[in-house]
Amino acid sequence: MGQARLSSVGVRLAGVLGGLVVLAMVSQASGQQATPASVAKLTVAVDGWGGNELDPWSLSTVNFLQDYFNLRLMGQDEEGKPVPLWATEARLTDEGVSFTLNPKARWQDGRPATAEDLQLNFEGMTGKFEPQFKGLWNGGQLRDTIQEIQVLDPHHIFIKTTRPNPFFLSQWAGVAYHLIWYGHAQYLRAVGHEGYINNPIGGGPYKVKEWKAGERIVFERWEEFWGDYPWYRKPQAKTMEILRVPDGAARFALLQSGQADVVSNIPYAIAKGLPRQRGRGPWIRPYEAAGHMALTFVLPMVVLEGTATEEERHDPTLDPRVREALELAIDKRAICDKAHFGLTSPTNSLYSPGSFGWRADLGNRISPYDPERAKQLLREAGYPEGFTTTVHFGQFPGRPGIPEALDAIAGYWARIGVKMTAVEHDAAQFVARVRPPERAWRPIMLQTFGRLEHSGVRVNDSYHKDSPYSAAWTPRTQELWLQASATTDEAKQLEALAGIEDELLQHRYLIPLYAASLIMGYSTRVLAHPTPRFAPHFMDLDRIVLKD
Amino acid sequence: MRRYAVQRLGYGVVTMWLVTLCVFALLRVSGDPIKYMLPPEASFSDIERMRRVHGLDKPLWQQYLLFNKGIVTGEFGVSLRWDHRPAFEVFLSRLPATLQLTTAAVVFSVLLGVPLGVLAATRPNSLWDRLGRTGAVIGQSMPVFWVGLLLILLFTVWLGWLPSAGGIDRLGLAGLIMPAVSLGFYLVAAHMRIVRSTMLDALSAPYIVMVQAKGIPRRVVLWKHALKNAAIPVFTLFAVNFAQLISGAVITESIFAWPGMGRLLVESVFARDYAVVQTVVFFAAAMIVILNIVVDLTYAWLDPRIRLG
Repeated sequence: MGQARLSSVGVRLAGVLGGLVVLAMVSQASGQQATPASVAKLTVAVDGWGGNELDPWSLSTVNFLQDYFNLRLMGQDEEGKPVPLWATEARLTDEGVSFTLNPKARWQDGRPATAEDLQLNFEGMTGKFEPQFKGLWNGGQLRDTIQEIQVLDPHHIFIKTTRPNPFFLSQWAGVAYHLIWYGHAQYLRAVGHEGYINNPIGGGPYKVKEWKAGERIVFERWEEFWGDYPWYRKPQAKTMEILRVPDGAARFALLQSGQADVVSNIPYAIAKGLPRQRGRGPWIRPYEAAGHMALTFVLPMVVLEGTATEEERHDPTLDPRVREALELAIDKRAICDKAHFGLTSPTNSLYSPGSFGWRADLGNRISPYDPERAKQLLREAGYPEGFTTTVHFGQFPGRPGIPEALDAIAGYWARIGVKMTAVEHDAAQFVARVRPPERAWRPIMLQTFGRLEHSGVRVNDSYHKDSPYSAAWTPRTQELWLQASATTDEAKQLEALAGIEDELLQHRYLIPLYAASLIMGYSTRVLAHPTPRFAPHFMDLDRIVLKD
Repeated sequence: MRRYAVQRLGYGVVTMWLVTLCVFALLRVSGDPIKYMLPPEASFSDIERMRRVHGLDKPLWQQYLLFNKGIVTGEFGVSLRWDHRPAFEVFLSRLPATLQLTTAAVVFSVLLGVPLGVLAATRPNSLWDRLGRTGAVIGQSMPVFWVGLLLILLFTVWLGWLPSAGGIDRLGLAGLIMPAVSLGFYLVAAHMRIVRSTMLDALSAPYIVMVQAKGIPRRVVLWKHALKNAAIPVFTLFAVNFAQLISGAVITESIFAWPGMGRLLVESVFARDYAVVQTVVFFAAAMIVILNIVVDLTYAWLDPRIRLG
């Protein structure tokens, strides 16, 4: 009897528990199903968005807001693979590049987006319609790149390049770190610059509803948006407001108080204690390798270029043993683990992890921390007591952790007798004066690089003789650069890129330090943000999925 | 009085010209704006092209003549970084937010600082006085950004009462409270200290003894007779602070994402946006000069010894 009662209670309990489990599963399933197709508003707080300009033919710098109302030819999916946006197909050869444009593509006034529009865009960006449109900040480069444009039909175009250009898709088509956006050319020409900035009409998923330059922008979803890819379609949020809040703590407060759903670039010191998965409160996602940091020894370049003073010719950093000692004295792993709370990762490469040209075996072979060997090298070089030096740096939006790293490096170098002073410069000034022949940041500078998907672009920017953001070069890298930039053959490019990296690392002209993450913060409203693992420069905010 | 006014106006015009000359020279000395403006990836051909497009390839003397001509004709040039809009339009777009914040901060500081100062002066060395003086020291020692962040932590994050990012156009009047308190906090202490000190002097003056001897109520003695005479330095402080804040409160504006002139000026300086920097400095200087002239003339009107001297 007793046993029967017990078993009866057990059956009931099991029934109740089973019911609860089923209920939980049903509610979870219904929760998943309940993800709404449309939500009213998404609020985003960012530290910066580049330039404060809406006119795509007069940009003075990159501006990620353009992503939402103007067009790119290509993009990246969640896996980081190039995928169609305006162009459904791209073909790169030594002669040039052909694009097939999506016949569904429309501008926001209903007119079709055609190959002729694309041609007019290139002309507008290179300054053909001056003085009304100033031309793009990099219009000079674009003009040097394009020899001729052939509109084959409304949806096919061939762009003949002045020479084989392996970087066209990376630089001008919108794969990863893109530099330009395509606007409604006919409308731009009809209303002019002033008419356009007062009433911009594009072809992207959002329309500009309100624009306060430097402060905020309010986008309204374009209900007839033509995009039907998983990565480029009508967004979920009807209104998207992006606020510019320069202070990191104030941005995070917006997230905590529920005033913002997404916040960019959360300082590492705040991010360290936050969960990386959605839960009860704000959560974060580190976008890996958004920035790349390296110490660059400037004086070897200055000597090579013949602009060194007599005093500089005796600087300790001209001795490769000293440069090796300085590298061995830095514990890169400890900087990443302790000073950056594990939000950066040490690197031994000049290129961004995962990019075209990155070699994992080299990049992950971190130089050992060996202060004893460093001291010995200094003794051999004739500096047993060490010396005094200076490291110059600038701080850029989206590249956190620099002061902490420099503090740590100063401490490490002090242990081998090298007294280092870090001097900060205004970021714009830092960039402007980095180039030869000035090379103002002598003897050492901490250079920060944004993520690039094609390392050839990095070499173009920094590792040849005429690089605008000049780091280091040798006659050998110059030769290899000419090879790499003159072919669309990927195998040849990879070989040349590897040669350039080996050459510069062998001379120890640079000490690669770490790849820095960019920390994005989310409120509990955010269910998903399907973007590539490696940080996109431009945040794909139109892909965010909210729960209500 | 008229001669005095003309003299002051003359000084004002000379000051303005010197300010514009300094700004023009300093901006040019600090570097080529195109190099500073363009991203690291810009090539040499990009730099040359942009310099030509923006007229920065012209000789300095030509640029200076154009700049002066612009001031006279009201054409302050076109911004480099703000949608290529006219610099004057960019300046005007930020002026209302600056005036709102400045006025609110100064009014807050006067409304709180003056009564506290009077209270402290009427009861010297009392608990009120000591509390007031301690508060003043704390108020003047706390950095504005720290006060701002504390306010955000308390009223936005913990209590959820006040919004913290944007101007009145986005948040309504509620958005003004924390920036104004944060900015005015320092000024409360300054006003309190000066009122206390001038009131102490005034309360020991013979005319106050005379008024008290007449049996006039203490409230009237304090607020009508003593404070009125002690108000001249307070008025000066008020005007000076207002003028200073007109040119922008960069830190407060950054923390609260307030769309004022301070941020505009700093961002334009970093971008070497000549046209915007020159326009903002010109008008900020003009407002400071005008306010100073008004203060001088008011002084002269209140106290004839000043203009005669």
